[in-house]
Formats: sequence, C-alpha cells, structure tokens
Amino acid sequence: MIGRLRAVLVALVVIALWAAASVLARTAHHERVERAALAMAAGTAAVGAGRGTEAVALLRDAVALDPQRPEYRLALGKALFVVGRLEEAEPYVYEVLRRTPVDGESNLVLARILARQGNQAEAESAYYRAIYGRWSTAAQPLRRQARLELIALYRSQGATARLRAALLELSNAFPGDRELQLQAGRDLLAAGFADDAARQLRLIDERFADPGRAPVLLARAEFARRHYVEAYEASGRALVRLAADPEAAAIHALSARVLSLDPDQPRLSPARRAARLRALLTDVHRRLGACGEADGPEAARLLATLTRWLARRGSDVEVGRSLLQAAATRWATTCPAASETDAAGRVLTDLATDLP
Amino acid sequence: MTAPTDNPGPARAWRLDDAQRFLVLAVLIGVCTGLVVVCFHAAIELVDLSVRDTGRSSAMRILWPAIGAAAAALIVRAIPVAAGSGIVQTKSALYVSNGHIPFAGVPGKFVACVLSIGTGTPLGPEDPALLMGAGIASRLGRLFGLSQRSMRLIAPTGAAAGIAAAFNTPITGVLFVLEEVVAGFDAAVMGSIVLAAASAVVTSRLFLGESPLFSVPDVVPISQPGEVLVYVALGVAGGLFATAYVRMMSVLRYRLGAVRLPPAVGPLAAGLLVGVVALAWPDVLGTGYRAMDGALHSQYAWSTMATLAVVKCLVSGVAFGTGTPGGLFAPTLFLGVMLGGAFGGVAPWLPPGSQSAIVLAGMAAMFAGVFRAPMTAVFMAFELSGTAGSIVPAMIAATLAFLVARQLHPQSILDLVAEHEGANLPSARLARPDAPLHVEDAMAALPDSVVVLPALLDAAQVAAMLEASPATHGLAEAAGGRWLVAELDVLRPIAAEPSAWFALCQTSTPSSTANVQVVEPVYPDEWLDVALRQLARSPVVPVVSRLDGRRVVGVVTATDVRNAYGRVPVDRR
Repeated sequence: MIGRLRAVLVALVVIALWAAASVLARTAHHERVERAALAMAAGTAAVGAGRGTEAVALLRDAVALDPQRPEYRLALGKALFVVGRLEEAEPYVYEVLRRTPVDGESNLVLARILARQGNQAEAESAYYRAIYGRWSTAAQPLRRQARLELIALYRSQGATARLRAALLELSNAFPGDRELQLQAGRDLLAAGFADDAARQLRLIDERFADPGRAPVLLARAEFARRHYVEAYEASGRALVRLAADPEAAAIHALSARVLSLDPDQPRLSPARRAARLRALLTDVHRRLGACGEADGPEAARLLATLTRWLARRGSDVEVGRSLLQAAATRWATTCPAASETDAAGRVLTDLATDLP
Repeated sequence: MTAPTDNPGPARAWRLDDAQRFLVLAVLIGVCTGLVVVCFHAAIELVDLSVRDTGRSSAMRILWPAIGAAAAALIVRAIPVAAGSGIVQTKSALYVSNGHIPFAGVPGKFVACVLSIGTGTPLGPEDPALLMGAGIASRLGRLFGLSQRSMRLIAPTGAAAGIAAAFNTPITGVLFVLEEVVAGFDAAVMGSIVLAAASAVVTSRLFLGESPLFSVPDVVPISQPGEVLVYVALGVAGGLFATAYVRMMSVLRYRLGAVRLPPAVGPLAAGLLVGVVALAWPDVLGTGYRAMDGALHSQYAWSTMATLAVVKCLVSGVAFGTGTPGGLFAPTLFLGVMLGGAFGGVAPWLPPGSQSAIVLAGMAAMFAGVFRAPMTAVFMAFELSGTAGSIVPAMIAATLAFLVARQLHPQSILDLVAEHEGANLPSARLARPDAPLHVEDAMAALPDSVVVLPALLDAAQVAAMLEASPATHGLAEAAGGRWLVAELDVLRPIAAEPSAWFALCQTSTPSSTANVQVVEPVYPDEWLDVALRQLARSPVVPVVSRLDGRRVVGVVTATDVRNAYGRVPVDRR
C-alpha cells in the first residue's frame, strides 16, 4: 500500500514537473520568438535606412534569440556585408547554405562576399548556384540581379567569352523583359560582340510594339558591323519613333555619308565608281602627307605613284583600287586613327581591314 | 465467488531486486532531472528577458546584477545547503553521507541561481544543474528504499543527468561524472549513469530541441603540419591560463571569504562591480553563451577576445569568491573560447575557416586545465559543436593543457573549492602514492619449505615425492580450480592410500578439514586484500598464473604481507 502511494506520488510529481516545464519552455520560447521577430524587423528597417551598425546589432540579437531561423542568419550576413565586415558575414551565410545548399538568395550573398574578397572563381560558382538555385516568388528580381552581377564580374575580369555566354543566357532567360533584353544587347555591343548584339536588338525591334531604344542600338550595332545599309535603315526607323534622338540622327547621317563614299557599293555605274575612287585617293593622299608619311623612301614612292595616278585623267580603275587599298592600309597603320564622325576615315579603315 | 489464493508467484515475479530497482530509478532520475533542468533554463531565460526590458538605462544595468546576486545570497542564507559548488556536495554524498543530499538544496539552488544568473551574474547554470540532479536522485533513492551501497552511487547518477541535460550532451555528462565525481571508471555505476544521462537528454530535448548549444560553422580539419604546432602552442597557453585562473580563484575565494560582512553585502558589492564592468563589456554578463557563439562566428577581433577573457576571469572570480550562487562551467568555457579565438587571431599557419576549430580547441584546453578532466573536455567540444572535426584539435590542446596545469598546480578548481569548504574528498589526481598494494608486491618465489604436487601424479608418485622432499608444506591442486594446503606430515598418510588421496583431490569446499585447507589461488595483479582473506584460513596462499591456473608462480604468507606493508616500493614513492 505504501509502495503504491509512493509510486502515485512520484507520478504526480513527474506530471507536475512536465506541466511546469511545458508552460515555462513554451513561454520562454514564445517570448524569444516574438522578440527575435521584432529585432529582425527593426534590423531590416535599419539596413534599409543605411544604419548598418545598428542593423547588425539588432539582427545579431534576432539570431541569438531564435537561432533556428535561417532567414535571420541570412539577414545578419547581408547586414554585415553591407557594413563591410566580410569575415564575419561569411560563416552566417555558410550556415544557411549548410541547411539549404540550393537557396538562391544565400548563394547570391555568398557570391557578393567572395567577389568583394577577390575570390573570383568561387564567386562565379556561387553566382551560378544562385542563378539556378531555389527562389521564392517574391525574390525573383534578385535572381535577375544575380545574373547582372555575374555579368559585371565577368566584365571586371575581362573574361569576354564568358561575358558573351552570360549575356546571351540573360537574354534567353527573360524573353519578355524588354529592359533586360535591351541591357543584354547594349552590353554585348559594349563588349564588342556586334553580331550578337545586332541579332539580339533586331529581335527586340521585331518582338515588341514599343522597342524603346532598340532601333538606335541596332543602328549602332550594324554600323559597328560595317553593315551601313542596315545601320542607315535602323537609324531611319529610330528617327521615325524618336525624332529628336541625336544618336540616331548622327548614325543616320554618318552611315549615309559612308555609303556615299564607298566605291565598292553595288549597282554603281563605272563613272561613279571611278569618281568615288578618285575622291578617296585624293583624301588619303592628303592624309598621308599631313601625318608626315612622305619622309621614308617607301612612303615617298607610294605618294609619288598616287600623285601620278591622280594626275592622269583616264587612269586604270583597277590600278586605282589597288592603290587605294595600299594607301588605306598605310594610313591605318601609321597615322592617328580617324574620329568617330569621319566618314571617309571610316571607309579607309574598312578598306584597310579588308586586306587579306 | 472464488476465494483469494495465497500464491505469491506473480507478485514475486514483479518484485525487483536492488540492482534492478536502481536501474529503473536511474531512468526516473533522468526524466525528473531533465524536466527540472528545462524549468531551470526557461526560468533563467525569462528573468534575463525581463531584466533586459527594464534595464536599458545605465543605472538599471548596474543595479540588476547586484539586486539578483543579493537576493540569491539571501536565499542561500535561508537554505544553506544551496550554497557552494554542487560537485563537492555530490562527492560528499558518494564518499561521506551515504548518498544523502538534503532535498531543500534543489529548490534553493534553483531559485538562487535563476535570480543571480538571470540578472547577469557571470556564472553558469551547469554545476547547479548537477547538484539539482544529485539532490533529486538522492530523494528518489531514499523514497524507494535503496540499499546503502546503491544509495552511495545514486548521487553521481543524478549528477550525470544534471550535466547531460544542462549542456544537451549525454557523453559529456557521463564522462565528467566518471572522471571528476566517481574519480574512476566503476563498472557498477556505469550503467545507471548512462541510463540517467540518456533519459535526461531525451527529456530535455523534447522541450528545448535537439540543436547543440552552439551553432558552429564548418570545422576545417587539420591539413598542414604547421597547424599542429598552433594547437600545441594553444594547449600550453591554455594550461598556463588555466593555472592562473585556478590560482586567482583560490586567492579570491580565501581573501573574499575571510572578509566578515553582513549577509548578502558581498554578493551585492560583487554584483555592482559586475554591472559597472558590463557597461563597457556587456558580453561578460550571464552565461556568455551568446558571446561564445559570436566568437565562433568570427564576430570579434582577437584583441577584443583577449580583453573579454581577462575581464570575464576577473568578474567571475569576484562573483564566485563572494559566494554568489552559480557554476564555474560556463565561465571556464567562455575563457577557453575567447582564449582560442584570440590565439587564432594572432597565430600563423592557420588556413581560412579554421576559426571554429581553434575556438573549440581553446575551450577544451581551458576546461581540461581548470577541471582536470581532459576526456570530458574533448567530448564536450565534440558534443557542444556537433562536429567530429573538432576532436583532433581538442585532443591535442586539452591533453597539453591538462599536463601543463597539473605540473604547475596539483589541485583542480574543484579540489580547491572542496578544500575551502573544509572537505577532503578523494580525487583521481590526488590519490595517495603508497596505497593500495597488489599481490605481486608481497608474493615471494616458491620457498624450499613448500612443495607443489602436480595434479598429473598418482598417489604412489605423490607419496614418493613427499618422502624425498625436505619441505614442510605441500600444495596440491583440488577440484574447481582450488588448491589444498597442508603440512607434509598430514599429507603423507593420505597419499599412502590411493582412494583417500583421490577423495581429497576431489574436494572443492573452501573449508578446513583434517588439517587440510582448501584455498582459492590468487593472481599477481589482484589487490593484496584478496590474499589476506585467504591467509585467514591457510598459512600459505598460492599465486598462480592467469594464463595457466596450474602453474604456481609464487606464494604469499603472513610474513610476506607484513614485509610488503613495512616497505614503500621505490616506484610508488
């Protein structure tokens, strides 16, 4: 009987302890979680307001109070990154990634930290993990941001091939986003990939009812590709839409001038071709003389030949074409480069570049 | 209606013997301790959160630790058993008071420590949890009427449950109690300690979750020889720092304890000092877990961590010295973490990402140096971090710190506390050098006065052998691995009759009949006490080989035993 009483007493004590532990643990947990959420909200607001140090303190509180929430750790990592404490930020981000390795935003933050630390190779991997990681619907803009930052990384590294691939991926990934498409086209053009840029920009021009500045950029790309007819047409279309656009007007005028000087344009009469040839030979003769190219014996011989060809009225056009090629090459390699608005200089440069 | 039967069979089947009851009780102790520790943790946290809400001004930040410490001291004055380090009371229960720990110590310690630690006293909740576990175990043991032997072992069982639940580390709980409280690996208590620790951890995890105490970033394993040197240097530094800490604690405890002040004035003053210091270094307040987590995440510069270590060393010393309730585990871990972090900041050859490994190694080194429990330290680093990569660095640092600290200061901090409290408790480190003796210390080679009669000989051969022998006593193998000892004058007539000799050799009862003694042989590695018990009924005790029980390697006589106790072997001096 006494034994049973003891057992009942112990059971009652255990039940009471269990109840007390439940109540206390739940209350403490609730208090902790509530305070952590408040600290998180205040910390996020402080980051937004540019009060980085205060944000770090608040978010550190949030993490300490509720260490199970990865989003608090990520927010702290981001705040530490913002205030430049990269060494401190890194472990927090890695911890989140240890739990959710495919989390897009965490990988993006890690990529930024690594890029800032100069660890470009690891940063590139992290950017790719971010781009192809898992994102919440609300955070989709950050996924695009990851691509843009990766492109900026490649650009800063001068890694042109990878930059081109990233830009093409960017345009493929967001076909409905005109601004992003334009950005990709602009970046391709700036990186020297005029063919890709032209293809990209033409797509925009065709796909969107309002292509924005795509025709202007297309005209620039076509001009860079030495497709002056297309540049002229695109800039003409741009001028129809954007009447006062100075860039479109300049490309339009310049491409028209180039086309009017080019002796190799199709459907030219022999007389017009000869006249264009003569005008360009006269121009290159002047340019070579102006930049002091008459000093050497070889240059002097070339100038004398040019002078003789120009002096004769019915000179051989084919000889003149060969002379123009040689003079343009000489000019392009020895004299200062022509300005962007110099149409004749552009034609001469193209002729020099066409040399096999 | 059926008459009730008197058959006691089923009831008896359910009745447990003492050992079985002890094991069942170990589980109950673990559950109860786990629940109390959950309440303890939650209560400290709620007080801490409330204090933070109200203590935003500088005045309140100074006052809160003082108020809490003074209130806790008043509780301890009302309930004196709640005073002191819980480990000493637990060891006293094991060695002195037959497992008795007054239960009033449990609620007293609970409330006092909630008030002091919750308001910012820079001490820890682990040692109090240990005492609460031991107190609960002692009460349950008395309630269920355990035998005296089981009662002596029940306090360590509860202590293991307390430590395991407080840290969420079952292995650490078991090892600490075996290394520090039981001072050895006693198989009798091992099962119950493991059961209690495991059930306490399972219970506390139901409420507090399964995460380790610290969330540790990835631990980079040792990959270069230069890193080993860093951990070696950290171990030596940990040993030196631990020695300095123990000596400082000793001085503060004796000096501050000697000052006669009205009740609670000492803790009040210590609390005010803590509050003032915490205005500049708030990270030293309370358990310091948050700062330790920050150090693991490279939150602090090495110089900050070094400063925090020194400041925490001083404030925890003053708080403990004035008798403010609270434990020494957390401050020791704090010092180790900060020492490791500071060391990692200035040490060369460390690859990036090794901060957490060196911080955990520093923690283990300091714990091993202060508590002189290196195995516990290593497993604590592993369990608190949840990463196996921390084991090798912690082993290197903890072992060296233990050796250095032991060389410089023979007593651990717990020995000092016990000494200050007037107790002289046994300890694995302070074992007397000349006790106890083994059989091999006393045994002598087979003398001429004793002849061994091989079991393979028949009676005629034995008789012939006895006739020719100049010895006075004979040893013959009996049944059941026992041996017969008798004077040759007694054996000769028996050997002359084969049937009588055969009957004698079949004897196995350890009793003396017809002047022939039947004795258990002893082995060289056994305690001499075993041989002494045999000498009570036989003048000669055979010492046999463990590999061959028929081979007598020597004998022990009363003279040999007297001689052994009369000399102190050189290698034991």
